[in-house]
Amino acid sequence: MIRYLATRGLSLALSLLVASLVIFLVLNVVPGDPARYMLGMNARPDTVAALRAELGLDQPAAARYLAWLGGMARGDFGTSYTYRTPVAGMILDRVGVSLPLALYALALSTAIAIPLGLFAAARRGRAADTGVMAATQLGIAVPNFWLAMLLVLVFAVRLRWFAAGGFPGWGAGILAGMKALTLPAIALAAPQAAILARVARAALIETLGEDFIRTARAKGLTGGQALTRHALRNAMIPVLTIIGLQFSFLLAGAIIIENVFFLPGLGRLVFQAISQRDLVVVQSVVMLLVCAVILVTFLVDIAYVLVDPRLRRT
Amino acid sequence: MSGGLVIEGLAVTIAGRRVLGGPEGVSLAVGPGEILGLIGESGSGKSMTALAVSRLLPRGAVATGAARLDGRELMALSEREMCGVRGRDIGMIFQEPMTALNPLMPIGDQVAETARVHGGAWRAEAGRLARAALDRVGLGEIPASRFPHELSGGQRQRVGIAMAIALRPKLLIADEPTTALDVTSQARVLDLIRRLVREDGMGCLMITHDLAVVAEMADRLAIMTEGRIVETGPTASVLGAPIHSYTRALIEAATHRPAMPERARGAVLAEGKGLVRDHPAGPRRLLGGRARFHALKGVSFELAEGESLGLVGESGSGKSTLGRAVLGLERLRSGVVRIDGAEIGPHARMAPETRRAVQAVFQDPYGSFDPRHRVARLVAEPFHLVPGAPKGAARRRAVEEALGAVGLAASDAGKYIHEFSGGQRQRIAIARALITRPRLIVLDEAVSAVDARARARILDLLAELAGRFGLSYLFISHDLTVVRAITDRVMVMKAGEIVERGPTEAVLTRPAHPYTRALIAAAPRLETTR
Repeated sequence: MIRYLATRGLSLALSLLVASLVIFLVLNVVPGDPARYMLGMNARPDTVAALRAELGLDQPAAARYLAWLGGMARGDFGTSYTYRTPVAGMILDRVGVSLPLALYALALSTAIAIPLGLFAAARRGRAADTGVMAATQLGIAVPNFWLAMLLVLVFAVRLRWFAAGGFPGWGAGILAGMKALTLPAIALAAPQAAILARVARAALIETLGEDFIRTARAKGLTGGQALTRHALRNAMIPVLTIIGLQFSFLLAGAIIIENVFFLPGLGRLVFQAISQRDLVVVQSVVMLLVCAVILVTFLVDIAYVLVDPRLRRT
Repeated sequence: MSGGLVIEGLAVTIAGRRVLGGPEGVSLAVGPGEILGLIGESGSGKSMTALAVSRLLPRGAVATGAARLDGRELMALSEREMCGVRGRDIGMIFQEPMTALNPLMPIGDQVAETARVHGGAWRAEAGRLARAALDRVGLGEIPASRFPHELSGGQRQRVGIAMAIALRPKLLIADEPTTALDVTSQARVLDLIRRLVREDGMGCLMITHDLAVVAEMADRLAIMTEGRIVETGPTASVLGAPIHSYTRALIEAATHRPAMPERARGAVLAEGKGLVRDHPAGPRRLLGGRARFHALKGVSFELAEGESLGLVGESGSGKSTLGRAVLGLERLRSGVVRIDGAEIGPHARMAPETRRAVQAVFQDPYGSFDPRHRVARLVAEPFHLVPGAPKGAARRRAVEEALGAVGLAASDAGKYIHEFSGGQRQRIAIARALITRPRLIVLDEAVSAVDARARARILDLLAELAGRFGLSYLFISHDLTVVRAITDRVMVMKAGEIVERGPTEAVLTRPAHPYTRALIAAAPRLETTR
């Protein structure tokens, strides 16, 4: 177990290093001049020269890469060119919105998908199963921004249960913050839940064909008991894989939803930074997202081991 | 009516087609403390009978008729009531010990679950009950916290038995409980079942395709074919004086001796010298790499032209590894395998002549063919070993000839593999091996998954082909009866070493090594009075 974690941890650190190198190369080295790119076509040569000095572009690439890595290790992500504030602080504020939103959406999606998958698997081939499958098909097909606007129309404009957008900040209290995130979380979770429910159903149905399910039934378990006590855990591996992928997507892929609800999240930050050509911010946020994805993959690996004792030996 | 299980007029229909029972239905009785052997070939309906009684038929299958357990009509029970019967009144054991247990749950919890779902038992009490059941099936040394993957096949089957008998059911249904086990584990598991049946006075419905397995332990036999029972009676009289022609055919097939041609031993065709094969096993140590498992520990052998050499041993003894080494498929740590004096192996440069000289037939008649290819292509596959292999009409003729040699029709070449039975598939595998005109065929458990009658016919075929084409065989099997029937000499393998070798008849009648004696003692025998 410890050896397994150590090996996984080492490969995780290596992936991070490779990712940082790729990001650095793509944004800084090839091709052309980042300073000229950030300032646009009509910049005056002395402005470009000033920015080059500020970004340290006169240094060799290897030195810049090491300085960037060293800075990140100290928590110094550089200074945003557009906002003139430290990038670390900006990102931290945005993560305070995006991370809770992603976790909220993921919790919702899992809480909907697993029972739905169980329900459909228990009634496979019957009308209820067909109905659930049709609903999930719809859930995947409906664009989440459309769903978001629908939610705003119904729950904010008509019923006035929620605000139509914006985020009060965690200073206003946890409940107020959660309330502001509820509609966006639902809009994000719905398609994810639909995908996850289908994966869960398929995995469960495959597991239900296994011999040990027949053994469980022979012991006197009802079909439902065999499903929840024996099939569910055995079907968790593909479900965990999808949950891991979904979390990475939710963290970074919420740009449209953040825009619909005027949420100050990471997605919007990247979007703005890209449109303002603020490479310092883009580079840092991308690196952070890569970190998050790799970390989630690591957590999913640990979850596999917790679920399946057969993996503990190696 | 007295106690025990009484089945009357049981029939199963799927989509309006009667798949079990024939016109009059299946009727059977298993008294308390009695072992009834239900014998049949694959597809005869014996497992379906068990599933119908326990009401676990696949969806869409409809059972009719009566099945009473101690006077209680099982067919009339609701699903919920039936859940109360399964596990408590009817215990079941299945064939596949590898997959019949939940891989994610400790064995103790799985046994305790039987007690817990039937109510009454709290966690601690169910745990004690599970421990007692595990002790009873001879797993006293094994902690209840172990997971299935940490146990051997025989131990897993014991866990399955512990689950089935934990609540002392009235009826034990054992469906091919030892088919997937070694002879020695098989003998021990059969002993265990017999002891438990006697101790608890439960009835036992013992389902198997193997007459020899039930010959020693069943009180009565029921012979089933095509969904109907054709003969029932006390074991001794059914085996000693069978009435129905099908029963006679089964008994004949189980004891069949093919007529192997008398041949003089020629020069050495295949030989191995000091073969060592090892795999990394166990956890990596801090220094010095991982512990290694030795599948072959310096094995040497010789196989003469025109000889049929048997290789027996338990699973894990290394016999399949040796077979693969002879086919040149194993990366040996040391030692050399030669065919006709030419070295073979994954890295050896082999002349086409050497490559085509050795062919193989494996155990699984279902998994060893690509289902998307027609038989003609499957059989012609080894031609890629032969430079200048026949093309077009000549190739077609060669395929038809090979199919003809194994008793199949030329028109079978255009069919797909799923259209054939297990026995026919093994014939196709033999045809595929024959097509390059090899001199040696390695048969690795080639008839183990085939029903008795088909097996007898394949053994006849192998004997005939040996004479006709001057073939040599390396015949790997755990089944001593088959090895006795088809081989001239035999090697007994244990833990990567050959512990005894000699003429088959001499080794099997006067074994010198204690391991050989144990193997022979454990092998179920079918002794008929004829």
